[in-house]
Amino acid sequence: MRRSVRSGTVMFIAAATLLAACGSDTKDAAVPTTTGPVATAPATVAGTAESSAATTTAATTPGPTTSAPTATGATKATATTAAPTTAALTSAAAMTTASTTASTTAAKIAANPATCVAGKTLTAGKFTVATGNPAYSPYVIDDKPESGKGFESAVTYAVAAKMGFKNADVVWVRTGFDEAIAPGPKSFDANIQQFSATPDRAKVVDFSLPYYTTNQALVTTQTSKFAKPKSMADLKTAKLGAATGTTSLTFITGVIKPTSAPQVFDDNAGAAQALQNNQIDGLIVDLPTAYGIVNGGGMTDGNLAGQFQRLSTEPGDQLAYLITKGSPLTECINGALKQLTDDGTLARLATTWLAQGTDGVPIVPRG
Amino acid sequence: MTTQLTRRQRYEQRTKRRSFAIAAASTAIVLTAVAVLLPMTSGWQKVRHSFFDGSILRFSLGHMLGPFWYDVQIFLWCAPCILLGGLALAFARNVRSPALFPLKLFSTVYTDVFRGVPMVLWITLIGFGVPGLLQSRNLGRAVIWGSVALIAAYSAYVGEVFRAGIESVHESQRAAARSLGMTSTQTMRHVILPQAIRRVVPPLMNDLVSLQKDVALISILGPVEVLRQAGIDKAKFFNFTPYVAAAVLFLCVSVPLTRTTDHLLQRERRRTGATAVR
Repeated sequence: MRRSVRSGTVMFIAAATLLAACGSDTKDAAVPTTTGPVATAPATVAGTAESSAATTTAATTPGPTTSAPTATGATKATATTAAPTTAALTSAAAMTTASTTASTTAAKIAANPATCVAGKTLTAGKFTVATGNPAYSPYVIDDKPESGKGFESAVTYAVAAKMGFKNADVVWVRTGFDEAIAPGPKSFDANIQQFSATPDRAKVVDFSLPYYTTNQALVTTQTSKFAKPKSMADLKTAKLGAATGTTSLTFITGVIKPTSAPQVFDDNAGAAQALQNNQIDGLIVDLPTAYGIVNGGGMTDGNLAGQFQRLSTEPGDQLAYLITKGSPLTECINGALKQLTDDGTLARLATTWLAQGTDGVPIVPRG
Repeated sequence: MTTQLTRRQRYEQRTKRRSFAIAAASTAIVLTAVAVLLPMTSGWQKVRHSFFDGSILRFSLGHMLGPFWYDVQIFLWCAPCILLGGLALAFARNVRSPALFPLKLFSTVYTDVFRGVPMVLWITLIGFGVPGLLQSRNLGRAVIWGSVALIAAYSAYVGEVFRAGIESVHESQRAAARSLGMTSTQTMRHVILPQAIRRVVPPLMNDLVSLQKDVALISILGPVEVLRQAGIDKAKFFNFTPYVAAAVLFLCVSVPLTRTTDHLLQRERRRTGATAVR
């Protein structure tokens, strides 16, 4: 009895220490109050404002100007933009530098990525890039990033080339999601596995400029009553699923807002299985991934029901490289991505690897 | 009993005070050392920000109570089922009649199979597999089959604990009961089990505490319970503090649980007259 009282005291002290460690720190981020959507980045209107970044760094080409985040745009603009259909896809990719990065500060962009990288990579002369384990099609084909096949693999080799690396200098490593964001030294220079850049996340890590902007899409079974939704309102009664930690999940809870709680899975494979089992009505994923699930053998009777219309106030899912916070390499990668956007390479790669899947997918309007 | 303490009582009181003071001092020294040395490590600031962010901790704790209650509910209906299942397996393992050998064999094989595969695999296999057969929204609910997987696997562990308890009761107890004219059922019910269960309470609590944590594995199947909620918050902020918040919530249940058991056991020991050797 005495013994338990004593260890209880010890535990109490330990708990108090823990609380003290977490004690309020005035420098802490503001208390988040909602679980709402992460799509709170200020809206931008391409080409309306000269970016501070664009003016401070001598851009080699007078390409699309990088617009600064406009705070008022978010509240004013209510019009809707067309989702990136085939025709719009090229422009969507071209717009990536024009759209705002999730980081609240303007992105630093190196004018000459090739000279920028000297001495800044993990291993001198090598560009170490991490991807998921496994990496999914169509971002990486056959889980072989070193083949250069698949959108993210191809983009990485293009970025590496702009930074003066030969293909053989690109070293691929694998990391899980948690490993990528844990504190401590990283095993990679940059991590590419469809990380969506959001303001909350950008407080902890660096994101490059986005290399692709995508919409959320709905996957159902072919016989589902939600197989052909006329509008988002049709999905109110649907039981939806998503993979954990994705912006797709925040899209369900923040935008679609169905009456039943979303089911959340470790990965898209689990979610696809639940869909197959009729445990959920639909699965929300980004558009290219949706194509990969429906056509990549993940499901036998999968149906890409549609992509969701995006409001002009929403930045969309901006996929970007994840880089250690404050890394000097960020501006080099940004410089490379900017050049790739300006010379049309990104748009071309998107057409090559993603157009097939994103082509002609019906748009599910709001309302 | 006089108000005047005896010499012995005074001596014991003095010793008690002294050992309490020593314990308090050594605890204080260790905690101070941790508090001083930890911030001196090179990565402390980063770790502190990633794992102990005050505002995220408050945010997480607030909206994790609902998901955590979900875990506790699953625990509450799984635990009795597991105890019954474990007991049934232990009985089956202990049958002595040759005619019931198949039962004994089943129990043995069941225990081997369910203990030999990681819990997470059982939950994945049963939780995704059976609903695939059923193709029914109501019967295929993840929480049902997740619970079934937990009960099935934990029964195997708990069954072994009960079996050990039953076997630990000396054979003479059984012989004595039978020679008094008790049937074998009566012997089990009134002589063996009461002694066996009392002996296995600590390992049973061990399994229950472990169950209380493994409930979180059901999140694999889709329900948003506390571990999943923590993962979602982690991905939102790219910060691991929500996991610390979840850990705190689990501790809030498991620590009182173990303390209570300790207390009950000690009371039981005093009641039965056995001395606790320190």
